[in-house]
Amino acid sequence: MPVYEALLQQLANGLILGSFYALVALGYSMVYGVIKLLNFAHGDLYMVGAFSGFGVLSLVSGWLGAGWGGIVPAIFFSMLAVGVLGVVIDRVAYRPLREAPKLSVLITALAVSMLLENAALAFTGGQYTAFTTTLGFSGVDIGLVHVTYTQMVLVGSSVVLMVVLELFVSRTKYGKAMRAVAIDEDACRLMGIDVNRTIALTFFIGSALAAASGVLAGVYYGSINFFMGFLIGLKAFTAAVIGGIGNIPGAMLGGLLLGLLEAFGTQIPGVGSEWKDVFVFAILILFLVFRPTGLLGRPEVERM
Amino acid sequence: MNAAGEASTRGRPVRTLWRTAGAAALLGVVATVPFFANDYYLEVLSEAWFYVLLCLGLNIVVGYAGLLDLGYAAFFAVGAYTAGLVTLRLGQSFWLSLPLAVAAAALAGVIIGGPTLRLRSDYLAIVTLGFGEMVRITVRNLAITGGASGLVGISRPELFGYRITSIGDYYYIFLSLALLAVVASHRLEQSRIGRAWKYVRSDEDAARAMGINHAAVKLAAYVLGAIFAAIGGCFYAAKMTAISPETFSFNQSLLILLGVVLGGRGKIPGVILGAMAVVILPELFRDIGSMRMLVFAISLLLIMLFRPAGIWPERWR
Amino acid sequence: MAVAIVALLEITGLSLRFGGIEVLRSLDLAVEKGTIASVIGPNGAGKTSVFNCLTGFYRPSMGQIRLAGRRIDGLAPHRITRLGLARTFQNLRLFRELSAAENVMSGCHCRTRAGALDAMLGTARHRREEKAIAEAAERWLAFVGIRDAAGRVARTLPYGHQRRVEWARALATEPALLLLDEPAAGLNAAERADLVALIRRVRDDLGVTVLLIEHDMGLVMQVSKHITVLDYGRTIAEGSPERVQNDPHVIAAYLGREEDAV
Repeated sequence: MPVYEALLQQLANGLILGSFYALVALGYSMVYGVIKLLNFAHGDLYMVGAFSGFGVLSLVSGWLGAGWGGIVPAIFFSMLAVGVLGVVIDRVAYRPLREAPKLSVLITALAVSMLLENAALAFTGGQYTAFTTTLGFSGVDIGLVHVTYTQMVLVGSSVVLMVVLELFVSRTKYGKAMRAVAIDEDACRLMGIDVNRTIALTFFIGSALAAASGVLAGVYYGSINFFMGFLIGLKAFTAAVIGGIGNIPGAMLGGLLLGLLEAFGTQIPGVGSEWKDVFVFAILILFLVFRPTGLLGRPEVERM
Repeated sequence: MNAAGEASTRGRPVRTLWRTAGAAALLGVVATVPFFANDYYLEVLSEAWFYVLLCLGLNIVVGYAGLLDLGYAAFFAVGAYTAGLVTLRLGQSFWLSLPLAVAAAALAGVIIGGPTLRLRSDYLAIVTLGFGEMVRITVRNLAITGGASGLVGISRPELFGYRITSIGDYYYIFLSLALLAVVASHRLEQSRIGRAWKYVRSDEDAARAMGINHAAVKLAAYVLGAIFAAIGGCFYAAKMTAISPETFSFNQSLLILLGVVLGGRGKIPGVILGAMAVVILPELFRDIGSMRMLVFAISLLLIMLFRPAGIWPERWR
Repeated sequence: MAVAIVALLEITGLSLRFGGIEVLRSLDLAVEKGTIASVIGPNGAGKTSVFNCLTGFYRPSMGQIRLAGRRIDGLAPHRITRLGLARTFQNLRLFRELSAAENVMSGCHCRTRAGALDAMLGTARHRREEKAIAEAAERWLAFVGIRDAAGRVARTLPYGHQRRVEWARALATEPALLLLDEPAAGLNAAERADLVALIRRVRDDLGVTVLLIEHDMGLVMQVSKHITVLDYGRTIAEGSPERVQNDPHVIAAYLGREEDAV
């Protein structure tokens, strides 16, 4: 494939990959914004989302088929279920430790992550589960590059979700509450904002977005496994850092950028698909060392 | 008064006598295990002592210096692969790999510790995880480290003409390493650097104001922890004669962390207990086999939720 | 402006910005060796910011700081402490879960050298220094008058004692210059009298130069040889206590910030 087409292909790949990363990064960033905790288990919620989506699809494919007719309800119910799961996790594992030392909470998040992964492992026996859909490969051709309608819908749905989220956060009072808690939790308490509920809402939304990403990824890649959340958790974190942690547009930007960087990265001689993860981590470390507040974040000034 | 300002036990010779006697007896039992245990028990116990070494090493980083390192297996890999490379690719004696592994581990500690010094604890955790993965992927991709199948046929070390091959031999090796690790850890804890770790953990800026170089102190923790793991890794390679990248995955880092945390404290006896639990419990409850990580996860969650005041009572940033 | 004869500390043209706000503007300050000097000024005048610049936690945008003739601006905090400048904090920053003795021992860290290898091998240097550190902790706690609190966890001590632990800790670094940030805050009359005595003992017995930030005018007038008054980030007056007390600029600064004509 000539260079021009190869790059175009990677652009398409990158955008899709980026939209998955962006959706997961959003949840990561939002939760970090309100409780200043990196939820290790977040990537695993993506995995649980993929499995629940698979479950729902299997259930409804009898009536609605395994095309978009079945997938849309799968996404919807998966988002709902995993959103609730996220709230439960916060309530059971993180809320009791709000005042505890940071290290304890981190380890707890790790425990939750382990729990989700190993529960899924026990459930599936470690096998890859095929996520079969009846979506075809029809699409448009740009030169030698074939972009399927499916791919376009995937990117489109991600964009829609992100736009809805942005509107929610900036226009509704719940969104305002979320932003306020992210700035100063104690002031919020004094102003009568129910902080715990706001946090729960944040978890719900963040987890639902991760679930959506999981289902979409299942549709796209055609198979899911218990470990898929691990890598995406790391990459979503990288995306959130690139964009500026705690920052919603930042997470979206970071996700897309990371997807593109990774896709184009595989074309760099010597990198290829074997080293792409190392490439991504290297980017993470570079950002953390030289620009820890990310592209859109504001530098924090600490007064003693 | 001793260093912590506590009243000395000079007036209680009997208690310390009992303690030393108890420790000596325990040591005696433990040292004679190979004489009456079969190979299976020896294997399990060897592995247990090996994990005691690894967990004590990670304890320096996590427990003493308060740095949540989720990529500790990378240092273990450095040691194992150094031994593999030295014996297989360079054709040298195993014993050369020890100083080389220590040097490589120290270097790795600095490389991994360097960028992470200014990071908050959650960022630090993920970055170290990333580093761990990078190391695993690197050894998996490079031909010199045997790619995905790893290194096979690592030669056994020789000591004055005696080839160290039997399970009993390795039992004693890992037991000795574990004992050395206990002594080294204890001395570090009660030393100037041990206190420096406590100060930096408690309030980094106040520590800096008191003239403590927080960066050097944290790096020292990484390097020391790395060295413990690397030495263990060398002997591990010698024992197994074959190593592969999958041994050094995040799962491994997690198991080692479990050993440090499950024991309930960042203190040496707790870590020893935790390490032994991580190895022995799955053997005791073989039927839950593949569910063992799930059980560990639940236990860890329960411990974190119900253990009062957390595991390290000092305040963090 | 009066120039100190043997200046241990010389600050010239110190400026500090936070975002768009100029916290310190071309500030000059000098402290004579072997004396007790004070910095006063209304809230927000920039006093603690000066301390933070001195100790290396803030990076000044302009200006120079010299300790015994050697430039220390831009150096890392731990190096500045090693060069002989120690501080206490306005809001007490003890290692709360550690004992008083252990807190004080943190000050000894920069004056000792035994490293990890010494510790693991149990070398003579390690043993010698451990003994010396333990003795030093005891000595400094006795110097500030709370020798018996050595083994008690810092958090459990009464406030006045916690303050003393912090002073002992700073003294343990064997400074040439000791910065005290509002040392009298929260102390009762008896404790304040003790503080005055302590500050004088630090100067007389240890030969340490002391620079305080204080709001308690009585204390300031009582102990200081030289006072510098700050307002809006710059020096508006300085001199002996009598001179400063009667300076119209100072009075204006304290009484009515809206009408001050600096």
